[in-house]
Amino acid sequence: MDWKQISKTWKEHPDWPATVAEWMDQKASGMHLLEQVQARDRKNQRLIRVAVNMLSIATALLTITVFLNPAPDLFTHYSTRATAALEILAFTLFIPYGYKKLMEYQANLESLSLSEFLAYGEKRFAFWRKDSWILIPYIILIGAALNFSIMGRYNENGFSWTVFFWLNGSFLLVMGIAFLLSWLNWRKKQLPILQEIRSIRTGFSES
Amino acid sequence: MIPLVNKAGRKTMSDSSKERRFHWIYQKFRDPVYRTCCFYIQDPDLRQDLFQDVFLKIWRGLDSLKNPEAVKTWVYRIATNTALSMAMRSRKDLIRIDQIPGDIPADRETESTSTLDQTDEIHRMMRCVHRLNAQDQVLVGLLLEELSSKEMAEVTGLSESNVRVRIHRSKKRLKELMEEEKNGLETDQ
Repeated sequence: MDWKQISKTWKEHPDWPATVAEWMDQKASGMHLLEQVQARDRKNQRLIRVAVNMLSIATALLTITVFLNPAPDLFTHYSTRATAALEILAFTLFIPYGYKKLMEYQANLESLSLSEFLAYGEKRFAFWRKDSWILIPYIILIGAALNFSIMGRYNENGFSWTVFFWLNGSFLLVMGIAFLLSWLNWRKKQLPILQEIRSIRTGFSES
Repeated sequence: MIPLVNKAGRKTMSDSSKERRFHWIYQKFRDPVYRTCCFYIQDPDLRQDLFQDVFLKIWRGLDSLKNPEAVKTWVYRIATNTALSMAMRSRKDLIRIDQIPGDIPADRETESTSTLDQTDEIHRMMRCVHRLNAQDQVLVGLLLEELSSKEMAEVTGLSESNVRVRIHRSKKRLKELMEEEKNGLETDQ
């Protein structure tokens, strides 16, 4: 096989020089493409920034409200204060996570070598990732906040174990269902990609 | 290498603005990037999305491009990683053996015989390329673009000697597949 000839044939394939010329000159000239690229880049970065900023502002407002306590009747009960404090903690946990996502976007991982990119992909498409551990304290904090919020209302007439078990049972059931659904979704959509990444990596590591 | 010299011939970094560098890369690499998109994705719309995606990543990464002399392998790295990523996500759009037209479309009957032979040859080769495993496909894609072993090593992150060994195997396997296909066609006829 003459690879020089094959490569020449490939590069001069009649299908795409015409397509490239027609499409790029008419629809995607350098300037037009640059404008589109810049607009998309700005939009992507704005989306992540807005999400992170809104979460930060919401957390800050909640914190200020709890500390300043402008409506005493709103925060007189210990359970309301505890609920707010736990929610603030839960929100705060997600702020550095959001910034990490922004950093990842700006890091431009595609410019890594293929081996490094695939190694990163293997971590990214795994069901349980390093950053998934953030979910554990988050669920505990939200569960605790829920307990303070609901139990606070029932405790006025004494502590009710029935309410406690029903509340936590339902919470754990919802979390369990969410976990199962996300696992099924991962198995359907992400696992095939992960398997393909693994197979390429294995192929590359074999001598 | 990305030009760092202005029209007057003065070497200046301020003139080599991000936009100018982007345009230079676009003019020099738009065809190779488009061919890479064609190699991995068949759907024309997805291909255009991919093309734009690659240049979006080039734009974003321009600030971090440390060594302007390595721009060729840097562009191929981005193009290969982005294309492979999209191909894996949209598996249905990967070129599959049964999707590649074996016959010449009616509207192309007026084209010269050599052009049609070339098209047919490329289709036949692509059918065989997509029967190779994914890592061999990546290497064949780079080989078609006439990258040297050193450049392929920089794109893939493998050692140069490893690339040479793999290329040798991939070529051998592709040759076998193409002979199988040729024999199959002769038997059918």
